[in-house]
Amino acid sequence: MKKFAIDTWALTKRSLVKYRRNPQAVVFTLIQPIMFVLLFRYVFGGAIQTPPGVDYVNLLIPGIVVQNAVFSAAAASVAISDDLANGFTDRLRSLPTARLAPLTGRVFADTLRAGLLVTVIFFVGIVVGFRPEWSWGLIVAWLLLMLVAFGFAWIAVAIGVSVKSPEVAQSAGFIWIFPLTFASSVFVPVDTMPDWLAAIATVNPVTQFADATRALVLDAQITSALGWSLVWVVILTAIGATFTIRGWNRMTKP
Amino acid sequence: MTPVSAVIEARGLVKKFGDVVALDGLDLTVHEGSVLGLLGPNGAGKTTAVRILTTLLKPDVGSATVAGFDVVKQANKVRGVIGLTGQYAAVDEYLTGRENLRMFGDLYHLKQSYVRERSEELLARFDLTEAADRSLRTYSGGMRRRLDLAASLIGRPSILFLDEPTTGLDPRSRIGLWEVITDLVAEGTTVLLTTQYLEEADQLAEEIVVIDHGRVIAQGTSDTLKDEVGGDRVEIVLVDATQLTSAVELLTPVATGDITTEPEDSRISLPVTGGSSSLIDVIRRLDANKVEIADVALRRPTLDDVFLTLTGHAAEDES
Repeated sequence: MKKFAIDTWALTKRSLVKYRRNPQAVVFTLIQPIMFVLLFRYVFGGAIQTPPGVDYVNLLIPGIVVQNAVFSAAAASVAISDDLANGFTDRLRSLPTARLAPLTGRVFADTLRAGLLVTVIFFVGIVVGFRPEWSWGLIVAWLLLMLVAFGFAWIAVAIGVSVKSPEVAQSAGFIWIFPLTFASSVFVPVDTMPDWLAAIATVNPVTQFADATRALVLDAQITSALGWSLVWVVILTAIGATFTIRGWNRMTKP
Repeated sequence: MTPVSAVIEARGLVKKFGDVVALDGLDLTVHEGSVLGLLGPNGAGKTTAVRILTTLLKPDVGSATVAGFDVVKQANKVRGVIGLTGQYAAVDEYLTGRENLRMFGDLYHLKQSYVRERSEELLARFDLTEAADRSLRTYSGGMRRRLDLAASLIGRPSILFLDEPTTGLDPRSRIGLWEVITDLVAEGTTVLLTTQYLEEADQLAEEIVVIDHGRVIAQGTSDTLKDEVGGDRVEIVLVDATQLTSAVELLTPVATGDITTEPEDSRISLPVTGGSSSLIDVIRRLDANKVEIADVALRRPTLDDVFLTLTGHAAEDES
């Protein structure tokens, strides 16, 4: 267990350093959410119906942080697939290193990165008029967002170990994210959607995450959505980790 | 000579990928402190063999031990005593040279203080101290390979697997890497080297195993393999092509087999024994009979000849 922790940390550090050294990646991960904030705050925001007395920016920012917690996890598909393609994983597997550390290291790095990213977006939100309730709810929301990132990172890693090449991972790793985050309460209230879509959006875990986050940051309230969110985190982690470990083991005994 | 023990031993390894038979009953023995060159064309099964011996793959049939540990049942023990340098430089692009070495040291579960010391030692040895704090993206191909090799040495492995370590390197970097490998062997490291470059096997390996289609087709030292293919040949190019027939007649007593000629190039090639004395004999006979020579050479067979003869195709052909 101690070995596992040491190896996971060594590889978490590697992923974080790698990310920091790649200024392009840093810029693009930041530019995209900031563009979304500006686009929805100033371009689309005025046309989106909100419940009376609620400012759209207060709905938007808790939604966008959820979207980005999901987004930041998706990078893991490409990273894992790259490591497999260029021999790095082979080297790790020829060392007396804990078997699953390359995967857990990646997941932890992405979770920490998501924690940082949502913090940046939070403060960008403040600049454009977002007014949260300053309370313990913010801390709980922040922890929830990291759990969301953790769950989706396992899904992304599972995709990374299942696809044949980094190119496939590039598209397979991102393609599910747009429908998943848009057909939800992230950007618009679900009841403004056509019935069939509203039905999908209601059961979408991302809606639960966004609703739970809103209740926490706006009113410091614990809602049933938070409960469902935690259930979803467990489900995502279980599915992701199961397929990941299955794919990982298959590589040693095809 | 005292018998040396086998540190790598494979018996009847079979590995199939779907319908493709990568290994078809491969046997290998590598003795302590020696270099075994595993030679074969692309797809012969070299990499599959290395992957099994380094615990990355499980064989379908057969067994192997490395340093006395079973590669399947005691995989983790094997991993503690080996180093692997694969076909790609498996180091992190964004980390610096020093960070890479320290990371691999941590992953070997070595003591922090030891990792630090050993990293500096390896950086110095591989001539990378100056570049130690630069990201690998600024490294040349040769530097990357050197770091890759350094990374596999961080835990002082007694057995090193080098899978085509110099593929894609320029000749200077290749020779540099050869020197390093030679030094390691001198210090007692056992090396299993796969290569497509016959010159590389000739330079580094005492014993050579040639494989094709997943089985061993020849085995021995570079010299014994060359002798199997045929001994020395003297090759002569004449100034005057009309003297070709008379030259062949003059040389028949010297030749140990059939003399071949290429009239369009005025070239004669004859198998001989006795090395340079037969060369002198050839020149005397021709000179005494006023046959003018444009060029003459005594040629030892190269490993390329060995390869071509054994497998029917050249080493670097796609199979």
